[in-house]
Parts: sequence; C-alpha cells; structure tokens
Amino acid sequence: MNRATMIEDTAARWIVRQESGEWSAEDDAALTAWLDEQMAHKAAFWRLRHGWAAADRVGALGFQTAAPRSRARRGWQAVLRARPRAIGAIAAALAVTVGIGTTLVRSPTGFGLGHIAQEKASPSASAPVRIQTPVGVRQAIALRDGSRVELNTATVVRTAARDQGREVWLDKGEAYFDIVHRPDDPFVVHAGPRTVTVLGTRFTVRRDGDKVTVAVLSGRVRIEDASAGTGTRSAVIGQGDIAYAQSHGTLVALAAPARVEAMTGWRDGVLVFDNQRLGDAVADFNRYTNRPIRIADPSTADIRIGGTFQIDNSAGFLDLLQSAYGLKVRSDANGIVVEP
Amino acid sequence: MVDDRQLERWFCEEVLPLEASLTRYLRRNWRTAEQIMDIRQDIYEAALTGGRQELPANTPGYVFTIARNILINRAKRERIVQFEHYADMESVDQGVDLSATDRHLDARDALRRAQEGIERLPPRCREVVRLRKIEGLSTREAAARMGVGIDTIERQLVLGIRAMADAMLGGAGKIRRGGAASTGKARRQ
Repeated sequence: MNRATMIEDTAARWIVRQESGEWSAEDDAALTAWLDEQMAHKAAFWRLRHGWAAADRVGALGFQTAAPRSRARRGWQAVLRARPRAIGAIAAALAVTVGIGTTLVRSPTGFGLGHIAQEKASPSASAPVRIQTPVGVRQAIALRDGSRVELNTATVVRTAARDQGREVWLDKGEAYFDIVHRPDDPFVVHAGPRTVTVLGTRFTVRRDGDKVTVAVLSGRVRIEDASAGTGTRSAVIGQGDIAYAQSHGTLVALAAPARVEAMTGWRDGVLVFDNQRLGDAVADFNRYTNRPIRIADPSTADIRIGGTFQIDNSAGFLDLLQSAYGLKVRSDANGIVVEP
Repeated sequence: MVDDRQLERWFCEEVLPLEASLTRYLRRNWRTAEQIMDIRQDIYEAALTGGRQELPANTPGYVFTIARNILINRAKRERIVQFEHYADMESVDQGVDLSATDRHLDARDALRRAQEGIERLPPRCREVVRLRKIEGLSTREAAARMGVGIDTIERQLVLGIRAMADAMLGGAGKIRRGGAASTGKARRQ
C-alpha cells in the first residue's frame, strides 16, 4: 500500500472512532497529536471529513438504486425509518395517500376546462381535452375548478373528462400549475411513469421522455413512481424543493429556491442559467425554436455558462458566446452551428 | 501564521473543490495511474505547508503551480519521462481556467455525486453507509442491526468514508482497499 493510501486509511479510522459515540478527551488529544505529526495527516483528515460530511446528502435521496439489491425490502424500510428531514415527509405522505392514487375521488363540481386562452376550440365540458402548444408558444388555460395551467413550448397536456376527478396528463414538455386546494379531492398530474399528487400548491412539471422534473414554488406535492410494482415509492417535496425523477429513481434537492426560480423563468419569457453546461443551455434554447443551435464539439459543450436570456432572443445569447467565449457562430441550412 | 481553523477552512472551501480538475490534470500529465493519489497527496501537503505562512490570493493558480513543480521534480527523479511531458506542463494555465468552473457545484451536482457514490459502493459497505447517514445509527447499533461484529462495521465504514469522500469531491468513488498493515493503527495506541 502506498503512503497516501496508508495515511488516508488511518485518517478514515479516526473519523470512524470519532463518530462512534465513544470519544474521550484522551482520544481527542491523541488525534491532535497525530494531526500535528505531519501536514499530510491534516490534508488527508480534513479532506475525508469534508467529503464525508458532504455525503450527508444521501439523506435527501428518496431513491431506489439502479444496482440490483438483494435486500431491497430492507433498504426501503431503512428509508422509512430514517431521520425526520428525509423521512417525516414520506411518512406524512403515506398517511395522506390513503384513498388517492389510482382510485379517484369524484369532484362535486366536476372537472374540466373552463376556457382556453388563445382561441382554441372550446371543448365540450364533459369530454377529455387535449391541448398542444407549438414550438416557441406559451399558453395559459383555466380549469373549471379555478386552477390554472400554463403550458410552455412544445407541450401536450390532456385533462380528464368531466366527473372523472382532477387529473391531468403531461404527455410532453413542461407546464406550470397553480392548483386550488381541496383537501378531499387531490389534483393529480401524470407525467409518464411518474404521478404527481398535489396537496394545494404552485409548481412546474417538465417531461423529457422518461425524465421528469418537478419544482415546487409553494405548498407540497407527492411524486410517485406509477410503474413501480407492489411497493410504491414516493417522495414528498415542498416549497423550494426540486425532484428529478428518472427511470432508476428520484433525486430530491431540498431547499433550492434559487434553482426553482430559475426553472420557472420561462413563465416570464426568460431562460435562467446558473453555471450550466453550454450543451444543456443550448438544448434549452432549442426547445423554443425550429432552427436549432448545434455545438460542433464536445469540449465546447462542456463550457459552463450563466445568465438570464430572453427566450425569443437567441441572437443575444449567441452574441455572448461570440464575444465572451470567443466561439464562432455560423448559420447553415439546418440551423446554427457553434464552433470553437 | 495562519491558524489551523483558517487553514482547514481555506483547504476545504478553496482547494478541495479543485480536486476533480486537479486529478484530471495529473492523469493527463502522468502516466502511472497508481501514483496519482500519492502525487495529489503531496500537492495538498505542499499547499498546506505554504498556506500556513500566508493564504494565497489566487488558489487555483497556486495549487496548479505546485502540481506542476511536483510533477517536474518527480519526472526528473524517475528519469523516465519524455520531453513532451515538459511541454505539456506548460499548458498548466489552461487547466486552471477549466478548474475555476468546478468550484461552483450546485446542489444538483452534489446530489448526483452522492447518488452515484452510494450506488458504486459494494453492497455491504452501502448498507453500512445507509445505516450511518440515513438512519443515523451508531457503530454499535449498526453492528446489532446487521448481526455482525463492530470490527466489520468499522472496516466497512472506513471504506465507505474514503469512497464517499472521493465521490463527493468529483472522483470516481472507487478506492483501493487498505491492506492489513494499517489495521488498528488509529485504535488504542
């Protein structure tokens, strides 16, 4: 074993002992003495302590690991028993879950579209309704129950027929929901394999294939994996939280209000990037245009960028790439190409 | 003199966030992968020793300059490095530019690292890390829960701490197991 590994191993043992719950003043003195022996000891110990503390974030993961797990059941129980931060929410969700989910409670007033903005054909109040926005167009719709839905670019949403409960299917794209709270009649958004049950709130749901992102502006929502077998996996998130659901599990980012705000910038016609890969930023812009921007090579796509840009002014964005990052921008038949 | 508290804070907030790009830089410029960790450790040691006198104004520049000097010294010592390695090292400034972007990890990246890190752990180690980080069990409680000895839990935790720290700092989260040589070193001495 080389020197660095040996020191790291010893440093890790100190951390284990320190966390064991049986730490004495003598131990503390012994640790200090070890640390003072060599700067290399401090480097290893501080590094591990810092990194290990950062790993506390696993507490916020309400996820099912992708790797096959022999004791999946037990793993899940472990999550249920976890600390309040991660788990109180889930326990509460389980309590609330009773009676909702796939069994729908009937709404006394019925549920469907009240009116549709932008001159869409007015649907018969009782039929299921499908609304689609073209690329680059945003549209707000009002639901019969007083809730409001704003559709972002290239989005397809369907609502349940009247008397079928408060349900919306997000087939594609992104939508913002401002939902009237009714304790006995939950509002459910289906996004592919994910079900978002609303507990009275404002939030956005974005769907890219199997990937579903939910950001909450106020209130709480529960996200369930509808494709899960018998054991339902769910996570409840609240104001300022974001859930990223993919086929193998759901990641929850707690208390990220700035990020939530950035993710809802489209409602004001802006895209907000905070240290994002250029490749991802461009993909975001491309959702709004039929003349996509392409990046010529992978290393350019990895450049990090930040800033707020008008959605309909990609020229300003491209100017910045040119002036601030020295990238070349040119047009061709298929769209715009960004080159190093 | 910079006191330990300040030094540790600077190390954690300014130096460690550079770890991912520093490691990439070392991989690019050093061909023996097994030595990367040793070299990185030397760099940290030198950075702390220098930082104790006075914290540098430009930490990335400072760290990568140390990295370059250490690589050159090692190369001279080993007499096996070809000339182009020196030429490559002139490109250190580029490494610094790239590294600056690594420092603003948002919560999303950190969560992704946590998830990837825990998924890469061997099953038993993962269970021990879960019990500690998610359930908050002590070593003794974890041993009782899993029906194994305290030694086993401690051994798995050592691996878990090293792997998760590496993952959170942007590494692959894969660590080489320490041999029996160091076992018990931090135990009662």
